[in-house]
Amino acid sequence: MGELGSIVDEVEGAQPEAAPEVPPATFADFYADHFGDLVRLATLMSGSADVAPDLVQDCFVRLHARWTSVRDPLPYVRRSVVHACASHHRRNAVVRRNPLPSPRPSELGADELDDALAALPARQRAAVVLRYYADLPDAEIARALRCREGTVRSLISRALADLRKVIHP
Amino acid sequence: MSDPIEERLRSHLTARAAQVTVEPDAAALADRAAARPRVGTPLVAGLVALVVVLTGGGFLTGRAVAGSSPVRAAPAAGALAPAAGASGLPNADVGGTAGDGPPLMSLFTRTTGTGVTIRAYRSSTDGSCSSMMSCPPTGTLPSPAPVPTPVPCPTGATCAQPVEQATSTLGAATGASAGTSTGESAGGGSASSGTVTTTPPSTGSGCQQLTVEFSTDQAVSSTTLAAPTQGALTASEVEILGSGSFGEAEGAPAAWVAVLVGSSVTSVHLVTSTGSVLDAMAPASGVAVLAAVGSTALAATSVIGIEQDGTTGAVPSDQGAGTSGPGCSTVPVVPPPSTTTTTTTTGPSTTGSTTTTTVPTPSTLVPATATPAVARPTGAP
Repeated sequence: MGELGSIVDEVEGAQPEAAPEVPPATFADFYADHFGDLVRLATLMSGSADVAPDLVQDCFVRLHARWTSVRDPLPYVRRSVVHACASHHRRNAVVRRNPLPSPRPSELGADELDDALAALPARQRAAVVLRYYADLPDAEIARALRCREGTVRSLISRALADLRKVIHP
Repeated sequence: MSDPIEERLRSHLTARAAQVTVEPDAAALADRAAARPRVGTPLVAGLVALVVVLTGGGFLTGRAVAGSSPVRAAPAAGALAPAAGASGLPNADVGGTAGDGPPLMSLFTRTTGTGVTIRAYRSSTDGSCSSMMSCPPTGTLPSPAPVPTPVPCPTGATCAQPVEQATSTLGAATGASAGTSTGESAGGGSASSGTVTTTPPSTGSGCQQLTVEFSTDQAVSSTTLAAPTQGALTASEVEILGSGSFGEAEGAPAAWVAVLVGSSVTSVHLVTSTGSVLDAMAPASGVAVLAAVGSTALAATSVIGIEQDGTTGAVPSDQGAGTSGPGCSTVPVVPPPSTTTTTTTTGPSTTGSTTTTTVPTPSTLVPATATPAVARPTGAP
């Protein structure tokens, strides 16, 4: 996980949002530290390595506009990335309902797990990625998804049930 | 014991993430931030503009719809020096009404040099002028003149009273009351060269009313007079529509006189016997209202119309011909002495010719009984 692990550690070590552990000195530092990790996260959520940087860049632009008022920027921008990926997922759902004559293959390569993940609803996919890639606790996932922890567990349970239907370990 | 699918997910996601190599691009971020449309500011500005437009539109609509408070209009341009404080537009149809009455058209608003603010409005009614007048015109009446042919009243319409009814209360006077006279005075029988026109009766077209409001620092009053149009007079005629006083109860009496003038009369002066001008104004739509503060303000005063060429024009031989509303009394008419003939030179800027104009000796004008005055609340403007 590399740098993302530091993000997770930082988040996990942080106490309530009002009191971040080590507030970033400047926006540029925060951007340099977390951009790559968030792009990877967005790539897994959106399923597109091409779209993810744009989504994350937009999230940082929004964060920049509110930099002085955001007390704990990492959860904020992570939640922003989740929402951006969900929006992208909804747009892709429209495209899927109206498929092109020759659809492009998966950008991450042909893999039944990728296909199964892409078929999940956006919130289930986000919950799975945040749990099994970012290793976030349920509380942080709930914070990113703006739901309760019980809902997080429900989302992950349903996602695993759907994956088991198509994945044969 | 870990679920195999969970372990596979962890490894799969980590492997996929490792394939993603990306470097932060601060320049691209700066460009994107600069190009980001600021929807917040235009949205707020739009909302503010919408609120302002709706508020202003509602205010204007409310004023237009309500219209019950007449906008004070201005005197005619050229009001003379004693009339101060004029503002607004003359003859502006303010769309207001006097209670449930007809719409009022503002003639002028002026403040005299003695502090009497006068607001004059003209209105038309379908009713009779005589029904509005509680007292008949008094004073010198013209020689019998041809009675205008009454206009047949349409079925179902409200028409004015017949001409005969309007003139039947005039005592010895008979015939139409719209005529002019150079005949005898009712009081003394002396000849008078002035012109007096009493209020003409209305025909089926309705009655013109002149509503005048007076106010001083201590008292206010109003009166409504029957007011014929300017076209009923000859060019140099001056007709007194009414006179009165108010403010006695408040200890601040003031007197007024309303006149209708012909088209050639450019200013009307209220002068004392010594020749000093108490008040003066340029007629607005042929109407002039003069006022002065004092219990004897109008005693031994005269109304003089000044014509365009500077000539002292017609002066009413009887300056008490009008009425002053409820409680009006007959204005005593002082028999004018024999007329004197003077020579008046016209103004230098006009023809320069010398004309001979008969100027009567000013007769006494006594204000009628005061109209009901309303005390102004303390601190009111």
